[in-house]
Amino acid sequence: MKDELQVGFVGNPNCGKTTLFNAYTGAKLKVANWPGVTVDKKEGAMKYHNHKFKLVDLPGTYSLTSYTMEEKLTRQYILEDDVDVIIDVVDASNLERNLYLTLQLIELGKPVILALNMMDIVEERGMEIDLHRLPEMLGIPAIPVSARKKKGLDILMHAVAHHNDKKMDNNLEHHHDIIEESKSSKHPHKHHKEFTVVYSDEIEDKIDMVSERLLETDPEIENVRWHAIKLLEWDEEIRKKYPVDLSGIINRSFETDIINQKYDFIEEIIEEVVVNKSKKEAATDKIDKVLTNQYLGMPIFFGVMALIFFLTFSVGDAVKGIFEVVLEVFSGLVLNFLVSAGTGELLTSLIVNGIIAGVGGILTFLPNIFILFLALAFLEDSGYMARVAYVMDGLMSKIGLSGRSFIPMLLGFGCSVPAVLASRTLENPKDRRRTIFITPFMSCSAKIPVYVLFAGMFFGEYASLAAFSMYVIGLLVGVLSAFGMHLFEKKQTRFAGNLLIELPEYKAPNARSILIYVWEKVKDYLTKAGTTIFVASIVIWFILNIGPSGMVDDMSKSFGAMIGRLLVPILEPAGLGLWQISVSLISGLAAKEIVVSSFSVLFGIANINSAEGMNSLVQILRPLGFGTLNAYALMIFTLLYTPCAAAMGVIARELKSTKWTLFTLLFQLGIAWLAATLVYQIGSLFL
Amino acid sequence: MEIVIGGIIAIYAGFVIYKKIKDAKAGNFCGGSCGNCSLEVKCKVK
Repeated sequence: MKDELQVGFVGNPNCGKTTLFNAYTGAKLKVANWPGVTVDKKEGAMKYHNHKFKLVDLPGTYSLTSYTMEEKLTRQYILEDDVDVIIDVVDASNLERNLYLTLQLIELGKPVILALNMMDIVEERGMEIDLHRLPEMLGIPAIPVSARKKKGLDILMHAVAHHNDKKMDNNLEHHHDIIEESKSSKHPHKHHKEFTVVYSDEIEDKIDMVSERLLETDPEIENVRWHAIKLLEWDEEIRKKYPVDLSGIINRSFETDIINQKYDFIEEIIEEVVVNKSKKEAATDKIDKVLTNQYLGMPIFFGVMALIFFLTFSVGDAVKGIFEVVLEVFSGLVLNFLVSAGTGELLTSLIVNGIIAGVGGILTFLPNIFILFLALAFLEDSGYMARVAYVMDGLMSKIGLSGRSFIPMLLGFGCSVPAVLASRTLENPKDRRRTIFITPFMSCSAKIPVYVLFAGMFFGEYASLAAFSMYVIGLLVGVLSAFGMHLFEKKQTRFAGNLLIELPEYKAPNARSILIYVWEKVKDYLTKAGTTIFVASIVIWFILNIGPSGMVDDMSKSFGAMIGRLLVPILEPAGLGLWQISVSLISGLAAKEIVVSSFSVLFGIANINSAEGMNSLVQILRPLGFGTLNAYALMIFTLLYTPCAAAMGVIARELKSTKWTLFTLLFQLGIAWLAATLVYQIGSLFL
Repeated sequence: MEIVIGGIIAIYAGFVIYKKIKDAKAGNFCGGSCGNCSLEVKCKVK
């Protein structure tokens, strides 16, 4: 035995790996895992029965592909460094998820010891793990430990000291051995006696053929089977390292097949090894059979989203009356105060027609915003959000993205700023860029006032449907744009990484965390109304009340009207050829709600969201030639055009490229104009 | 009275604009709070 054994701690994030490392070394490493913040390995030393050990804590990872920094670092360490034994730390209470990495580690061919951590939780849940059968099926020792309670640590280190020189036990016992001897199989491999994971005949044949080619190229190659599997998975690093001619053997990536067959084996292990699966886990499995079902998953998701958006508009509208009364009373009180204080006409107009109309009008949409975020909070807290990524993976991969990209898109229904930031969790820079590119097409909460107002004014009983259609159109435009980019960049063909995402157990949403979540959103909305919209309302009031000759009585002679008229010829084909609309769309670049605020200020309507306010606005707009079709074109334009200043800032920061930022913003403007024009022109033929 | 009300509005608007520019320069686009951010993504993580 060597003087000092090098032991690597490998495992999924949050499996207690660092706690175990700290328990052995006495280190006080921070137990946390924030993706993309720290990717490093930590070293420590210890002695056990006169044996010296160098312990290395590696970043948590779900797999050993070469997509993320964590995966690359862990794999590089195992392959290139002088590691003697790998301690694979698994969360025993969640064996199904953890064993995927275990199987990959075993395939790497180094001595592996399974540390079944969190056994105390397994006991608490009334579950049992067959500790005789598990090592038999995996071919490696399995030691139960509890890092938190410091139990089983000695036995684990004892196993390390005695297992370091053994690469693989020959005590593998598979029930599916029989397949090998089956007469129906044309490929009588001996692999069931040699390897833990044995794939289908088709893949095993290919592994054998690729192995032969590899050995021809490099007779000294270590663990030829693992390299052959990686080549079948189209692993970029291994392909670069071993540019073997694989023509006639493979013409596509077999990664999905290999992953699926590993999971089939894991299911087999769980079936035999885990007794009394916890009730919670069993319930999650049952719910997942429906919610992530191949055929039902997507319709259920769209049904859930439709329900959320209908609730947002219907329930939100039902309670907005309270806000309208408060606003009217407040507006009246302020007006009386200003008159009694003897303030001039101009300042009174600025406060009543500018600030109160602009800010107050936006506040009446608070119930709609509240309902939307309440529903989104339920989705996040129940554990459904991660399932959506999984369910959408198939569709997303067709447009060249992974299911993981759908999470930023989903967050985009709330606000584009955190949605764009969430794209950081995507490993591939191209995926990240494309996701950032399409996220602003999602209908964020700031656009709700525009839909509520214009759908309410022009669509009568179909208002909710018209508003809901915006979400569908946004999603469709996003998907089509991503697909367009995918086709455009297709020259650089690559196999998109498979989605590996942790699906947490379902749980009843926690009232406290939901309230905190919703309060944060409501607070943000109020803050925005009191800051950005407040200032924007003042600016709009000024540019609409000042012209080249000073203060004007007629807004059409103001600077605002002059600016607006410049854009009229461009917006005319989209049915938006009024200078007032140009002004409101320009103002909307500060924050999308300001499109509505601008209408309040432009037409001097204090309570624009009330039935009375809406009626007044319709009476003004209809004679100007602005009807139902124009309203729909305006909703589409608002949905798709350049996002607000905050979103633009965050896009520029995340893309780190002026070229791409400008392209993104101009593309969105172009698409908005095109979509609104198409809808207006085609609609004009029928209406 | 008019000067007082007008002054308050002007000072507040000026403060908001100053704060917005300062936040944007610091790379904080969430309006000063992280309420909009969800999951593990925080606006101030650079």
